[in-house]
Amino acid sequence: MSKTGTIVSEAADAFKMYESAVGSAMTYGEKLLKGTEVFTKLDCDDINKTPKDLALRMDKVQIFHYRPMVKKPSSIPVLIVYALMNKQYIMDIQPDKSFVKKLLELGQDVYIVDWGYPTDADRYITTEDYIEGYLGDAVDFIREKHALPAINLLGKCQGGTFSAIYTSLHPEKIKNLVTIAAPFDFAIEDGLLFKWSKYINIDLLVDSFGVLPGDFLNNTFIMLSPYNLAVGKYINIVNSFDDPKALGEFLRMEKWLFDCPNQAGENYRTWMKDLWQENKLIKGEFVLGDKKIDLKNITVPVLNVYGLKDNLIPASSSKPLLSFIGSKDKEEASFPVGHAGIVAGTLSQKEIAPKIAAWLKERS
Amino acid sequence: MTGQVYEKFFEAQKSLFDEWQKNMQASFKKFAGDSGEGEKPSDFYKKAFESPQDFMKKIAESTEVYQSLFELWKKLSEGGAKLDAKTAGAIYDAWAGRFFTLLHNAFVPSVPAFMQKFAEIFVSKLESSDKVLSDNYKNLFAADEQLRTAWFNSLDKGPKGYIDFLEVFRKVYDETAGKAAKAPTFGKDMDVWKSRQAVMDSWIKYNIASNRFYAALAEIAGEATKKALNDYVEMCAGDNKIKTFEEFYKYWSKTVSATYDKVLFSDEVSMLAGNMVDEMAKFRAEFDRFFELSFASLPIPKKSDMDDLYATVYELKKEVRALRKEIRNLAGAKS
Repeated sequence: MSKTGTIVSEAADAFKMYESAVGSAMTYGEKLLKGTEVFTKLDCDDINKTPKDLALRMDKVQIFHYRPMVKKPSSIPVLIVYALMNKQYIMDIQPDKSFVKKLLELGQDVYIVDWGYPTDADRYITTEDYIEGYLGDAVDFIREKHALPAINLLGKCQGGTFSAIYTSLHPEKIKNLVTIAAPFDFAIEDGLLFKWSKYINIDLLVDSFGVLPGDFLNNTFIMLSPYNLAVGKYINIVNSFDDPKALGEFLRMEKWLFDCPNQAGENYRTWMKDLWQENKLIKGEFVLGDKKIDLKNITVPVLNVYGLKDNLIPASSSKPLLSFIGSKDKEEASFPVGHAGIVAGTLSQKEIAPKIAAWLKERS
Repeated sequence: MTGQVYEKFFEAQKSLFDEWQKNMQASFKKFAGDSGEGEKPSDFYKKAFESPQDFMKKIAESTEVYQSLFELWKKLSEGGAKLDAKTAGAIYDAWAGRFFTLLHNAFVPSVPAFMQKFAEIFVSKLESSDKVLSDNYKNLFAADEQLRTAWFNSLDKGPKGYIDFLEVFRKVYDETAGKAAKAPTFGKDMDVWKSRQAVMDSWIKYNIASNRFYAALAEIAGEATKKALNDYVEMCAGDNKIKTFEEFYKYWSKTVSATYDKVLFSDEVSMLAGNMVDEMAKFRAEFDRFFELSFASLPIPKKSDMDDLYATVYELKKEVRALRKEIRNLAGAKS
């Protein structure tokens, strides 16, 4: 018998003895062994693969247009605006959990912003450049292409905050606004990021780094739940080592979690100081460039979606939006999901994307 | 008999895990040698983690924590119905040391990679700095009775002892080597020398701040484990007895996570996190300054030169975008 064979055989005997004596944990070792084969044969080459075309490029920012999946898609396209802090492909993480694909199947005509990966050369990009520059140009491009006065905007997380700010400045260019798990009230008590952000010297951080490394964000997110994210989940995943589907889903999510882009310093300074530390947006004190932002200027229909299990952007931060805007047609929808699951989980397929598609359809 | 079974189980699990790692490495070597178009599975893992081995390392580290907990549970369950709080406490004390080391190993890779890289460059590439750095530590230890005492007192006290030691270290450092780092410099390379001292000073302070933070995380896990243990003893005496290790692990991890959720919100831990980030930023600034000065005479662009260039390019790009918009608007108005 080979050396490996002997070890496996001895292990099997020991596990049997152990099982008869204790009756648990044996499967952990077995699953590790089985996982070798599953792991190496796993094919995860289906992230961000819903067919799309590059519609516009502005520096490192790209706007993609997904190929419609129904004969007659909605006449008002929707532009998805994701956060700068993570990558937008969570919305298309795998075919059976793709939020984008679901919207397409339900008749939406979908565009998406890919903010790119900032490098040292991008340290001076401001919040105004992102919102009025890149996002504004993308909205104008789509309006012109479709010969429309206004399009739909769907913003996730920071992208939702950006979308609301843009809509308050240009309500005539936006037909409907959807925000998903977006922060608006930054003075909440139940969000760890919100608490820690008050203890950081943002000027020192930005002046020292220029462009904030994405790795800094990766590690910050891990520290929000250190045992679960640094240890516990790697113990738990072994239980799924013999299940290609579960292991594949775990690895796709790991790839996304550890793919935080660098952050342009000047934007990060404004975002963290004016919003996270001083909560200027809902106080009506936030100034973008030379324009004061008044959320009351948002008069278009608004759907505010948030997750009740979101520990990154808790519901308490997202929920207040509707009380600060001027829209008459406004609605909120909450679901028992977390920050990623809201666009990449089972419920997002069954309920959240259908809810948003139906809401947009009624108003387009 | 049960004890022998456990020993056998552990030996077997360890051998199996080693073998598993070897097999995985061999498999990935095979992938690395594959040719053909499109993204290979190995490419995916390279993107997801720094390397497939990185993922295996995370699994291996986590498995060690899991096994360590298994050892704890094994010792507790051997006590059977006779287990009381005092015995459980003694078992915990004897067990905790290795657990903290494992937990520390699992958390420390969370120190941002760019910081690890800077430290690596600074310490390994600049031999003289390395020597000064280690001499500073050596001198500190040799000269200060208070520090030596604090170190020996901390040895068997887990994270709490380490935190106490760090406090003494910081105080002694500020009064000795820290002061020396700020002493006036002279000679033709005085600016470089002064900057080198400042980098070392900021590096030591960053280390104190980050160690303080990670030790606090380990301390929280230790306190939560003690609570889980007390609950376990109570459950053993009552009807809700935990029967298997899986049940014990689930209960323990739930307790630890709940404790983290609560304690991380405290002002004290928030301040530690903020302080760690501030010290990291100071180190980065000093590091850049040191390199600028060190290579000032070489005909290569420095970071500050590049920042000037980036600022100019940024302004130009912005202007071009605005002009394009203006042209588009004018063209639209004409038609």
